[in-house]
Amino acid sequence: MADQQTEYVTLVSSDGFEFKVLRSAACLAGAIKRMLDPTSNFAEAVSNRCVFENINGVVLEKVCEYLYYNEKHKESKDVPDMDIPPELCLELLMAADYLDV
Amino acid sequence: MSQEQDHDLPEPPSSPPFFPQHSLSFRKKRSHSIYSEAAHTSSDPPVFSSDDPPEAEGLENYAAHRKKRKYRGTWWSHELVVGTRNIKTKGELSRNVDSGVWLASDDTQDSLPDATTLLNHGVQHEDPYSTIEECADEEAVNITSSIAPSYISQDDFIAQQAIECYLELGDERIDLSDLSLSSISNATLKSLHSLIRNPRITNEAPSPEHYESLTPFLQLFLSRNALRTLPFELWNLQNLSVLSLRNNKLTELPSCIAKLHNLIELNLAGNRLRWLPWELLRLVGPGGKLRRLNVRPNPLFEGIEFEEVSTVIVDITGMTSTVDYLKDKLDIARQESVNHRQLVSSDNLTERLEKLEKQCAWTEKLCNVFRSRGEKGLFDSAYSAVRHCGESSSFQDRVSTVGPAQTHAPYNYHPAFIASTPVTFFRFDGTLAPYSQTPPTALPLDVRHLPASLLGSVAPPPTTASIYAPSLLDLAFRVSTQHLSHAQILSLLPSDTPLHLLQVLDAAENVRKTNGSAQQDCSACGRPFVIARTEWIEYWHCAPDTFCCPTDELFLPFLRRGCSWGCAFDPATDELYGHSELADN
Ligand SMILES: [Zn+2]
Repeated sequence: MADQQTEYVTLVSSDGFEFKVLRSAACLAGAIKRMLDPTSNFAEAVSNRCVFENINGVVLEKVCEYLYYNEKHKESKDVPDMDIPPELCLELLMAADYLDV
Repeated sequence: MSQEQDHDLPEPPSSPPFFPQHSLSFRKKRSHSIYSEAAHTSSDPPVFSSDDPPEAEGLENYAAHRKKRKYRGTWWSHELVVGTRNIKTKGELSRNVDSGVWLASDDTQDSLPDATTLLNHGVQHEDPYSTIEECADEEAVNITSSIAPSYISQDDFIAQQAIECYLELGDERIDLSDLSLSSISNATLKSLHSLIRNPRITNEAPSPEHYESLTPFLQLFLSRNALRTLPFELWNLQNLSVLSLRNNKLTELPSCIAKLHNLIELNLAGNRLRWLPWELLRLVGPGGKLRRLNVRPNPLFEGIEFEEVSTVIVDITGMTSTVDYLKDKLDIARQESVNHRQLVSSDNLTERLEKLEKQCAWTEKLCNVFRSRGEKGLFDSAYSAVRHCGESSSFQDRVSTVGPAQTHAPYNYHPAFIASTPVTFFRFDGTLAPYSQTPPTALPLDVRHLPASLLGSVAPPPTTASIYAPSLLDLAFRVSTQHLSHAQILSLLPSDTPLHLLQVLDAAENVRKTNGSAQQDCSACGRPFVIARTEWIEYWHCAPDTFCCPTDELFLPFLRRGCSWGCAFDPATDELYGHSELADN
C-alpha cells in the first residue's frame, strides 16, 4: 500500500471533516501536490491523506468544489465564475494562498 | 425669489438651518473676479436672465435657454441629495430662523455643511443685484475657504468654486487649468455629473430626444496642474467631449477611460506616461468618436527608433514611399556592410542594419494594413477632406473648435496592430512566474526602448491546471473587495497574513481609487480580475485625424493585462473592431 498511487486522496479539515477527492483534481493545488509527491517522503504521500489544521470543514468543502471546477474546465475557454459565498471569502482567501490555488 | 422655488418648498426640515447668517454677509464683500474671462458676460444674476429673446425658437437658443433652467435644477437635486436640512430661499431662511423650531433639533451630524451645498447656497442667497462675478471672486475664495469644513481640501475647494461659476454661467467648458491642483476629489467632479443627469429627473419628464438636446457637450480642462492620479468619477462623465490633462504628473491612465465614449479630443501631452491603456483604442475607429489624440511629449516606450525619417504621410501613397525610401537606405547599408566587413568598426554598421530592417518591417506592415483596408474602400475621398481642413486646426486647450457639429467626422481612422512585446506571466498570487521576464510596468524608468515582435504568438506554458479558469485566490479577492472595504479586510485578516497578500490588497485598493472598483476587466476576454496573470505591451498605429504623423507617434505603446494565462495566447487583437461595432449598434 505504501508506494501505491490511489485514485482518490483524502483531505481532512481542522474540525475532522474528511473529503475524498480525485488525486488529479487535488494535485491542482500546488501545496497538496507537494504533500502527495511520492519522492518527497512526506507522511501524506504514504497515507494519501492530507490534514489541514488551519482550514475548517466549510472552507475545505469549497476548496474541493474549486478543485473539481478547475479540472472540469481544463479544456474550455469559456469558464463561468464559481460562486463564492461572501461570508467565506476571507477564509477562502487565506486557504487559497496556503494551498497554492 | 421665483415662483418655481416657492412652489417647491419642502416640508419643514427636521434639522436646524445649517447655513450661518454671517456667511451671507461676507459673500456681499466680493467685488471682482479672477475668472473674469469666463464670467465677464453678465451683470444680472445669470440664472434668472435670458439673453435669448423668447421668440428666438432656434434649436441653439432653445438649448441654451434650457441649459440655464437645468443648472437651477442642479441646485434642486443637491437639495434632494442633502435632505431636508437645507433652506431653499432667503425668505424661507428668515422664516426658519424666526420660527426657531428647527434650531432646537439635536441633529448634530448634519450641522456641518458640505462645500457643494455651501456654494450653492451662496449663489442662491445672493442679493438680487449681486452678480456672478461675485461668486468667483478671489477674495471670496479666500474668505470662504477659511470657514470651509476641514475635510474639504484646499484644492477641492478652489476647484468647486470654479466649477460652480461655470455651471451658473451655463458654460460647458469647465476650465480648471492653472489652479495648481495636486488632487481632485470624486465629490468635486460629481457636481458635473449631476448637472448632466439632471434633465432626466426634473419636472416635465423629457423624452429621449429632449434629453439629447439638453445634453451639454462637456469639455473639461485640467491642464497645467500637478495631478498624479485622477478620481474615478471622471470616467462617469459620459458626456465629456473634450478632456485635457496636459502638463500634469500622471504616470498611468486607467483603462476606464474607455467609458468616455463621447470623447472627441484627448490631450495627454506633458505627463509621465510610459504606456497608454489598450482600451483607449476602443474610443478610436468605428465605435468611437475620438478625433484628436495628443500624447507627446511623454516618456512612452518605443519599439523602434526612426533615424532616417522624421514624419510620414499616413496614407497608402505616403507609407509606400516611406517604405521604399527605407528599403533603399537598407540596401545601401547592406552594401556598405559587405564592403567594410573586415573593418573593426563594423559593430555600428550591424546595429544600423538591424535598426533599418526593423523600420522597414514595421512601416511595411502598416502599409500593408492600409492597402488591405483600401481595397475595402475605407480610404477614399475622405483623405482630401482631411488634407484640406483637418490639418489646419491644431489641438489647443483654450481655442478648441470641436463641438457637437463636428462629432461625426466623415473620416474614421482605425487603429492598426503592429507588434507585441513578450508576455509576462504571473503566478496565482501575483508573483512573477518562473522564466518570465520583468513586466513592462515594473521596468526601471530609464528603460525607454522596449522591443517587440511583429508576430504576436506565444507558446502556452506547460501546466496541468485549466489555463483559463480564475484562481481560487482571485475569486476570493474579488468577492472580498466587492463586499468589504480595504480597511475592513485588513482588520479581519489574521496578523500573520503573508506580505504578498497585503501587497495584492494594496494594489487592489490603488486600482479602486482610480477605477471605482478593485476589479479590472481582462483586455482579452473581458472577465473581471483582481490579480493580473499576464501583462504585455502592444504597439499600435493610432493617429486619428492625423495626415502627417511624426515618426515617434507612428507606433504607440498600449498596455494589455489578462485575467488568465490562456488569455495571452489568443489576445483577440482583431476583436477590438468587433467590440466597437457591437457598441455602435
Ligand atoms: Zn481573460
